[in-house]
Amino acid sequence: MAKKIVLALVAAVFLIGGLVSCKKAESVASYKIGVVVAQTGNYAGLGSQFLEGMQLMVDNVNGAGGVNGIPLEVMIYDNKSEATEATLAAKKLIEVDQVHVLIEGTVTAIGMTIVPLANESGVPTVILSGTGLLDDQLGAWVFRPAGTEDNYIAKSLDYMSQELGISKYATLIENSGYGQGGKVYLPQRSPDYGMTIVEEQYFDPGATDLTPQLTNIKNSEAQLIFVWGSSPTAGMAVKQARELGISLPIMATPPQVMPDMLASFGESYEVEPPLLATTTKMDIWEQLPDSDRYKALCRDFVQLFMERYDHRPSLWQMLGAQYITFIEDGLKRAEITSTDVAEIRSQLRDALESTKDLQLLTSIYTMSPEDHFGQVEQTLVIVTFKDGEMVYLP
Amino acid sequence: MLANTRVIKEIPKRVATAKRQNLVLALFAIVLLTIPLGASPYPLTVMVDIGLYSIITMGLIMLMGLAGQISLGHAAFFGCGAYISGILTTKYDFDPWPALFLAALITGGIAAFIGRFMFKLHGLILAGVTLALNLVFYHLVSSLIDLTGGAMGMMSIPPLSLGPFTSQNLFFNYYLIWIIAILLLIFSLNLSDSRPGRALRALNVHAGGSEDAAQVVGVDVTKYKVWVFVLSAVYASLAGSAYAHYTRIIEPGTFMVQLSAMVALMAIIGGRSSPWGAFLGAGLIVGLRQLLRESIPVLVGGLSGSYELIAYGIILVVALLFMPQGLISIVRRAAPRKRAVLDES
Amino acid sequence: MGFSTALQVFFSGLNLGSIYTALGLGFFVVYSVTRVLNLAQGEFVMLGGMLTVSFYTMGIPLPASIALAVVITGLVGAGFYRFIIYPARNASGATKVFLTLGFSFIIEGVALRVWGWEFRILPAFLDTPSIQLWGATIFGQTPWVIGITLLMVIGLFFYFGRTIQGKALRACANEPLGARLMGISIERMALFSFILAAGLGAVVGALITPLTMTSYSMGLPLAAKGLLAAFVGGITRAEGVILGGFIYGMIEAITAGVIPGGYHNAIAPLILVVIFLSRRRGLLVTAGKG
Repeated sequence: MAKKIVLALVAAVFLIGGLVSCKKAESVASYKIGVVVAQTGNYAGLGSQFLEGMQLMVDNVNGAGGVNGIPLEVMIYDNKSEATEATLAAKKLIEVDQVHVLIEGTVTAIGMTIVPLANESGVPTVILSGTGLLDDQLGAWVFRPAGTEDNYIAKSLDYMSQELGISKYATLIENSGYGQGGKVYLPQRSPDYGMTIVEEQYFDPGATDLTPQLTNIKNSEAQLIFVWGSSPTAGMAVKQARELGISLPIMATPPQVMPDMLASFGESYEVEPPLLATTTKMDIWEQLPDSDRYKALCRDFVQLFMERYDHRPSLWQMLGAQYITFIEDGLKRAEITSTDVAEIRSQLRDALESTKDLQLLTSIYTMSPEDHFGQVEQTLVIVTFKDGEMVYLP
Repeated sequence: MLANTRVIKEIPKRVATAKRQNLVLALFAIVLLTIPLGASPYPLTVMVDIGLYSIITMGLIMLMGLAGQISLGHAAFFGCGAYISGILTTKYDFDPWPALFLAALITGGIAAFIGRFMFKLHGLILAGVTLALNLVFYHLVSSLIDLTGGAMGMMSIPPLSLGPFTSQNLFFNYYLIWIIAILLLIFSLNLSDSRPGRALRALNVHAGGSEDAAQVVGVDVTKYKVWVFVLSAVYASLAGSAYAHYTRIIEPGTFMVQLSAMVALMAIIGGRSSPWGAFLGAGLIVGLRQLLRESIPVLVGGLSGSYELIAYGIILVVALLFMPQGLISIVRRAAPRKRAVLDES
Repeated sequence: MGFSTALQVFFSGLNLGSIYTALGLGFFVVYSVTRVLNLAQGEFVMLGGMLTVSFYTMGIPLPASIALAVVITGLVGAGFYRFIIYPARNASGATKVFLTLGFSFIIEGVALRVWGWEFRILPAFLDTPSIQLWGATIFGQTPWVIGITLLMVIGLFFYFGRTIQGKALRACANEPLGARLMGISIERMALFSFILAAGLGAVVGALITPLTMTSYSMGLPLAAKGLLAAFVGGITRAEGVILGGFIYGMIEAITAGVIPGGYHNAIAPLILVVIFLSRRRGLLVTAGKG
């Protein structure tokens, strides 16, 4: 008898899991935003932070009455840092949950599988994945209003050659999807600034000991080390470099100076010469001149964020919030008249594509049929560290 | 003498078993092939995933059931199929179908090369070697950026097509993958019931895969074990190629140890005594994950990732504790068939 | 490679080697007594690190924090054996391996719940500064890692080789029937081996946190590395595990400095595979008894 029950249960799991029945599409009592991020697995940090920023903004919008009186409804699925799960979750959101718009918040190829899906199913999608390489591969339905490696490389390289007079430097790059951006772009762009890379070293996201790599760099002719990584090991690279007695200037990328990294490695960042990094204006908004229009913008966001979370926001949290603002703006302008999901999706897509001069936290965005990245101006800054604070270098 | 009488009694049992199995097989095929007529896209997608995993898992079950080995790195073979197909079709303009077969051939070749060295070794060593090979594969693929796109993935893989149908169409994918799965199932069942197959299984069950016993029986065990390993790699490769043309974007992280562990888990939970176990295992694990994704956010009202993980672990532990031989043992007990003496349930 | 660079690589290898050896020993302890391959060993390491950090940030002095972490992790190990491994004692080896995998998912999920996704770090023990030696730098924590691993190794050797209980433990795996006839309770020995492995793992966790930080998901990748290291040398002999750990560590350190890109990550396991295949059962295990 017990065995028959088990058999029935097993069959039930098999069937229920595999053959979920369609939910009926609801009338527009709310605008449904489907979200696929990593809550577990390698990218859980990014995903969780992205969600925090996003949720903050959603609550903000709903608290003010929603968009044209209609609230935002968010459905969040965990992609477990796996491409197959990301695809499945996205499909479910599109077909069963009938969302009007999709957000994908994982910075690697894991989210890219959603691009063809979005284009074929006709769902406006805002993704975090991908890099500047993919201009023409986003398709008609996918948007990416975020910064790209293009931006911060230009800023860094410019600073290095103009302010520091560097002509030869070494790269210390993470073996990951994120690091690959650096691996590809840095050699490409450096000659434009009159610089060459004389030493290339790599590290793994989970490594404990970077002394072999750092020693090689020390023995080379490099005048500066460009660290490119998003895992804590990147922060450790700075720590170990200083402990090894390397006193070359070090240039880092935004993920390395996020609040949690500073908490662990801030001290090492200050050891002479203090770390240099590109980051967003949000991190040093207090030091911006009053004439900078991003100052007020960032202040408002940071205060909003800190009211709820008690610590400064990071890049990912900021992007999460920014994506909601982008969608909110699209929804406002879309003049959505029907309750049919397909129509709403199409109207929203058109509205998103005609986004013009939208002031977001990282830049102004203007989308067009040819450009779904839409970034109009570059707002990254160079910072360094002193006395426990991040210091803006204008 | 005792052996002789047993053998004689076996023959009618074996015939009955075969007929019954064919019936089940036919029913299975019919059900699967008619599902798309009534189902909506999302469940079909889930079924496609189940189909893909079933194919890999079937290979693993043969490896475990016939050769008595565990592989902790089979995602590498899955990945070989995916990447070789991807590279041949995007970089060298191959047609997808020949690429698929070529990929299977190459992957099988790699497995054959490795297998020759490995089968004289103690059982657990294969687990370690396959684990290491999975890591080698992953890092190699991530590093050969010009060839594979590296960690950022390989995109724009062209679809498979047959006449007017292409793998951009969900139905096409479904039928392609499930037809492959059913054909491989038939092949596996025959292999399992063939003379070498039965001999291998008997050795596994009764003599712990001992090679001394093998010599007594007179079967060249090592050669067959290598062949089973190669076959399991080929199964995974076929699934990998189909996967590449289905998703059209592949990235190295998909082919890492987590996937290897998951398909091995499917094999154990499904039951490694029969290729049917692959479908049970894949169905259960995929179904379980979907079920958790549906139900836990509702129960928890918010971020469910960590709870899903905990629930997943608990259910796995419970399932393994109560069904150490896998789901298939439950199925068999509920619907017993006349067993040939050599089978282990 | 200049002398100081070679020396640097050498110390890096010693550091890594110690970590892998310590990890491998956790596998060894459980495997040699129960023949179970415990994939959750990495979770014990993670718990040791996370718990130590939690206690330390509460203000408890470091040695006490570590001790507390070890005790709690040991209890987790005991619970693991009693409620999951023991009930499955008649199942096949493969089933047991996947039970440990399922358990590691549970622990990982709980850790995510309790501690979140953030990485945690500890200062080097006693704030030991880096040492400069002939042009090479040894990070403050490294002597602790090497030293304590050495202590663990010596301790295990002594225990398994010399003491009655130790020999009893080994007897359980090698000759279960004989052990029972001698009045040895296999279940108690098995329980003890899990507690010991959990405790060892926790110590390793506390040791490596200053170097590599802990986070809720580090368990399985660590387990994979520890497993490889243990296999290379031959998981059934402690000497094998130790040799395997150091070989793996050295190979990683050397290839990290010498081979460009991510290739070194591919080369290290490849070298291990070649070692596996060239020796039938692992480097030190001779044919027959293991």
